[in-house]
Amino acid sequence: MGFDFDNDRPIYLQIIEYIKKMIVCGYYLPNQKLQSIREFAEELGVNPNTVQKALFELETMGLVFTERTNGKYVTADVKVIENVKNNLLKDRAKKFFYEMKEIGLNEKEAIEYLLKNGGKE
Amino acid sequence: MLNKLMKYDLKKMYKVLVVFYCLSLILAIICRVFNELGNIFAFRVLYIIFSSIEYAIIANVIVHAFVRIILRFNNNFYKDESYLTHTLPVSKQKLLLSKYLSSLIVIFSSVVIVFLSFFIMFYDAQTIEAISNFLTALSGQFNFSVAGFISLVVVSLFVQICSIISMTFYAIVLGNRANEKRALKSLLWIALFYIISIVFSLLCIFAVSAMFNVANEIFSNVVSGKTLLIVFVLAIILYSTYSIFFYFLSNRAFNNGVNVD
Amino acid sequence: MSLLEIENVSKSFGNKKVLNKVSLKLEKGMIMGLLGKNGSGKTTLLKLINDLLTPDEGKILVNGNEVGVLSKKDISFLPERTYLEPNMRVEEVLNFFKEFYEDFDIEKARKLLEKLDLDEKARLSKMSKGMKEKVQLVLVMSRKAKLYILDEPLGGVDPSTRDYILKTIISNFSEDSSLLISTHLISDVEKILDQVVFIDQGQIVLHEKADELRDKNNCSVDEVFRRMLKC
Repeated sequence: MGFDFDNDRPIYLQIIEYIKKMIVCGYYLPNQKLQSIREFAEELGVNPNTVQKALFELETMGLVFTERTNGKYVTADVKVIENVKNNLLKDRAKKFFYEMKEIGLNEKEAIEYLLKNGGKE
Repeated sequence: MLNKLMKYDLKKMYKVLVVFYCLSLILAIICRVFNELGNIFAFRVLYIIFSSIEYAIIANVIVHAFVRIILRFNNNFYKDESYLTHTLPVSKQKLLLSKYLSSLIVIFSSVVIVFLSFFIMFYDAQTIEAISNFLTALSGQFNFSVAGFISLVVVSLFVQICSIISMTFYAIVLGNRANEKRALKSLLWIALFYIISIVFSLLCIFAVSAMFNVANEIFSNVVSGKTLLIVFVLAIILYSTYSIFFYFLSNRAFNNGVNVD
Repeated sequence: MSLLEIENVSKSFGNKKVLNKVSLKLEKGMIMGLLGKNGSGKTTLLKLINDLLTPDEGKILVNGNEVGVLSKKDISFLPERTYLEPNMRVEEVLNFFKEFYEDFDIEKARKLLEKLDLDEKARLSKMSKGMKEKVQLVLVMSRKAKLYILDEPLGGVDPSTRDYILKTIISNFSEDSSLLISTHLISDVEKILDQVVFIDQGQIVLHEKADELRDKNNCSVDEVFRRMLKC
């Protein structure tokens, strides 16, 4: 299956995150049509109702919109996508610095470490 | 739906039976051939050997027919297969009726095969004449026509077989309502029904013959045609009643739901 | 109207009470997991819905009809047992289903069989238990039923087939149908469930939406089940 779910957290939240990432990374372009709920469900191996719920939430956030008969589309509003992307980046960065701090590096040292070694072994 | 059900019931029951049918007919022909060549000692011996096998097979045809009928009923309604049978969109009455009708067909065809086998083995003008002479003498003794006599015998045998099937089915239905030892309980029920039906039949025959003032005659060696007719008609009435009565009971019990393990 | 309504249903075998006043409703378009240990009463409940047993008391309605011919038209049931006659060929079984179920889509069944590498000409007696289970699942999922009831559908199959089976289940179930899956292998199926019902000692001890349960307890349905029923 396309995606490994963590059974400990609500599935629909994980689907939201998954689709969000696909949008911000550019896999889905602005105004691109998304596959149907059923296709999503089959691809992810989850319940169609759960996908529906996730898409509904994404719609509330403004990332996705529904064309009455045609199905769901990614928003054409690039600003919204940028926004979501920034939030995601912010979250990740925060988490990264927090973890580095636990190991004993401050922000500057962490950045230096990153620039020097990256994720290399 | 009934014909579809019967198609599958018959298919399943005939699967093995047909082999015995063929064996029985083929052996009958072999016996006949050896019998025709009976002047030579070796063929005489072979005839004796093959005809004993043939009798065993003929007996087996009848026994096997009953066994198949009972197994089909029990397995299809109460074993693993029942998970499919009882979830088909078919009423319980139809399921039951299908088993009854297909069982009668199986019995009927088995009897025909048995007759046919004997016919092949023994048919010649002399034997037929001997049999017809015997029948004429027998029916003449009771003032019956030969055809009337034969049909009385055949009909009463037929309804008797029906009643046995009916009782057996009801016994299996009752036995399977229990939560354990179902086979044993089914057997006990069939024994009980059989004994009760025999006792009841005897009582009825006694009562009716008393009514017609022929009671003392029934249990003697000399039976008049009138008395014999009374006994036959009574037997037919009684066995038909059992058949219908037990069919009705099975239907009711079955409709109240099954208890599949 | 719910697709499946179970009201105060009880069932005993001898002195042993297997189900005790069970009530349950399943709406259209839902996938419900009936979760319980072996011997909790799951299978008994499913057998009652499918007319293989009769309740001592209570009422069962399927799409508004009592259990009977009409309810059987609406339900496609996969029991735990292999109920097919061993000497039949797969294609004969397909024809059998076509004859008895108006909603059976034989073409779809053929496609599914092919995908699962099952030979139509093969006799069931020559197949392993896992293969027979797959054949039965194909039969059940190839009907256009209103209610699919699957009793331990992943019991004897290997992990790769398991994923395929779950996919088949998802892709075949439509908005007007519902699915009731009983299992004790919770972690394998929990991601496809809308609702979970825990059954223990013949009683329903929990009925909740799967995601809400995860949210509340911060753990998987499987974990909640283990904690609650101490196993």
